[in-house]
Amino acid sequence: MTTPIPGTVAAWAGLIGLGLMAAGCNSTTQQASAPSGQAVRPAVETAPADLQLLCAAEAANVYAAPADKVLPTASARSGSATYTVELNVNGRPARCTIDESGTAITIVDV
Amino acid sequence: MSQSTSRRGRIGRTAWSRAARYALAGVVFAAGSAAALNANTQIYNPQTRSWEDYDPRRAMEFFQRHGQTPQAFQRRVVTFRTAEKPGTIVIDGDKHFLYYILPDFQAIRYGIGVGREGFGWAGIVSVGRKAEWPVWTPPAEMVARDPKAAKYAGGMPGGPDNPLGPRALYLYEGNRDSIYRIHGTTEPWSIGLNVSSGCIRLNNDDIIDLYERVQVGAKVVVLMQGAALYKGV
Repeated sequence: MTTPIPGTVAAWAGLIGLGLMAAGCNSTTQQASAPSGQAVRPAVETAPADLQLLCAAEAANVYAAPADKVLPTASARSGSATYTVELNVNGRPARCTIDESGTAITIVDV
Repeated sequence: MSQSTSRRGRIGRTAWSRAARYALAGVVFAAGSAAALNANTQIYNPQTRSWEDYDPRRAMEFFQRHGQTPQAFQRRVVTFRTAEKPGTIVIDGDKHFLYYILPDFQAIRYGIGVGREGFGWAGIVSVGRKAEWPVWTPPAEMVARDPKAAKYAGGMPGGPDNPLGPRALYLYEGNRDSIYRIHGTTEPWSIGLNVSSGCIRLNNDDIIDLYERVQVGAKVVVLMQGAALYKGV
């Protein structure tokens, strides 16, 4: 099942993303260039925690699941500006694609 | 030993035996992801211009040289886009960050140490109680193999040598102790590493700061790639 994101969370997330970009804020993604001797990163790149949780919030809407039963279980960069987030939705696997601005693009059954 | 201290000691032993039962009964289950990875930290070496593993040896060397952890693991306010309520705790075990959610899409970010391979977990729990200078009760298996731990089988009183540090937040699932805690440490160099038995550790200044902010009942979301899911999720 591919479910477009009609919900208020998507619109809300998009507005936040636009607002943050307009304000010149960066995401919590770690250092991208010119690392110093203090620079650290995880050996495996995952999606920023806030984007993972935005996916979880959207999935709770789409599947009408309680918010405390939706948990991101894995994530990875899937494009230059997108991440894929694997979700456990009340025991059911699902996959969310979200962009760096915080807009959930798709949520699909796995 | 006060009555309350004695009670905490019993809670600790019960919790650890419960942990063993959980493991045996398979109450936790694998996330089922092919990416069952326990993400380690890397640090950039300007001399070799390459990323290198930030392992315990390198972490100790870094701490001895700089007197602190790398800047990324030091407490700071960051942007955090979320619908979670202010006061919620979000733990990113892969990046070794703990976020305390503030209003207006901001959060305080702290560096943390998390569970080593096989001890990491993910789930949604809550802060069931808080303690200052908590008693530490080593698990039975540690008591059996480590004579230093054996003398604290009945509980190590709070103090500067206590591995829980000056403060602890006890994580509960409903009314039940999960056995996991967010606490301080006697090994400040270990922030950024996967070193614990599943607890989340912060530098002592940071756990004191967090302790003052967090309310009992606060939601705690623990994210960790490919880790076992705590039952209830």
